[in-house]
Amino acid sequence: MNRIEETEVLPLARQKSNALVSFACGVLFAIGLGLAGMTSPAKVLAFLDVTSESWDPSLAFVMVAAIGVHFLFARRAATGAGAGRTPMLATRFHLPARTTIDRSLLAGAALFGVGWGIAGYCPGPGLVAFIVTPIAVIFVGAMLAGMWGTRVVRARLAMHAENRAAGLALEREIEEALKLERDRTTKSDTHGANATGNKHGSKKDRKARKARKNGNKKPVASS
Amino acid sequence: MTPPAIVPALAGGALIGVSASILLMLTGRVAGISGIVGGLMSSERKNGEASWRLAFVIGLLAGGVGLYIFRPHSFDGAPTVSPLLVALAGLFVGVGTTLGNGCTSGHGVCGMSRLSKRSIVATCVFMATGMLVTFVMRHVLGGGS
Repeated sequence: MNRIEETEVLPLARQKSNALVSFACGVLFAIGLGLAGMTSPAKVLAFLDVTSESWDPSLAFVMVAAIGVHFLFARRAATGAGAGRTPMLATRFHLPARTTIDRSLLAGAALFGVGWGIAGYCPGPGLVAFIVTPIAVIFVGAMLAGMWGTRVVRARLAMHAENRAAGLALEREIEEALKLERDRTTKSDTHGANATGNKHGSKKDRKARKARKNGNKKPVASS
Repeated sequence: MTPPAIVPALAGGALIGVSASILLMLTGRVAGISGIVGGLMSSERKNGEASWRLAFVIGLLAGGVGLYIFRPHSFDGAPTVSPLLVALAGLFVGVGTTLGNGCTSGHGVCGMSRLSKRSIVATCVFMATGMLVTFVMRHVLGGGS
């Protein structure tokens, strides 16, 4: 669970320049969403309503244009990260490393789509509308609660799983130690008198112990 | 689908692409909104992780105010469903983007641009359920509007 990759903390000046760039990108992103029509839930729903006669496919071009512009840079970053190049103001590219398609991805994407289809807001436009559209406050509040709750539950489940694994390992260890102890006591009981140099016990020893165990239900107490 | 409807969509999309590209090439970060916001709630907050995230979110909010001043009709067509349903939608979006590690921007723009298999699958899934729910809400339950 320790994050070795995060040891590189940027110096404060770099953090400031990064924050400044992020702010500018946030503004640009918001203007882009607004121009594109993504901040109008009615327009988003008109796009999602594919079976309607008044279907409005224009929002598909938002994604086309965004990918068209970003594609080259994204590839540059991906290949650059592999070749050891770094972004201009940071020490490395933070690109998602996971490649497996799991249930969490599918269920999450499905649930997100349901929410998107009900209100017509996805996270970006919701935040852009947050200050200027009263109903967006409700949306964003619930969204933040959902994000936070999911993280809390996931962290707790991970902790439980870790505890359970640790508990099981401990239990196994104790059992093994007990068995070893039991073996030693029964061995010394039966062969204490004629102890030989053979540490592990011969075949005869084991046979005798087995016979004793089968014949007598409580071998230790009876002796 | 008239040209006047496509031009702003293309222009807005291009701006989104420019923003995501600048963020990636300068700071090495992916412009996935749900990831940026969600990261503010995780334990990675220390190590200077919070400042750029917070700055991006403030930028989004500020951009919203700017849009409202210079292009108020950007926000036309607010949700017509009941506030309770809007809250439910928000909850679904929050839980879903956290479980699925991304939203329209993270998977749909950034991930698709990298040709990430996970993002392509996620985008197809949320588009499909979004369309399905819209269909049910409008043509099965709602009957118009």
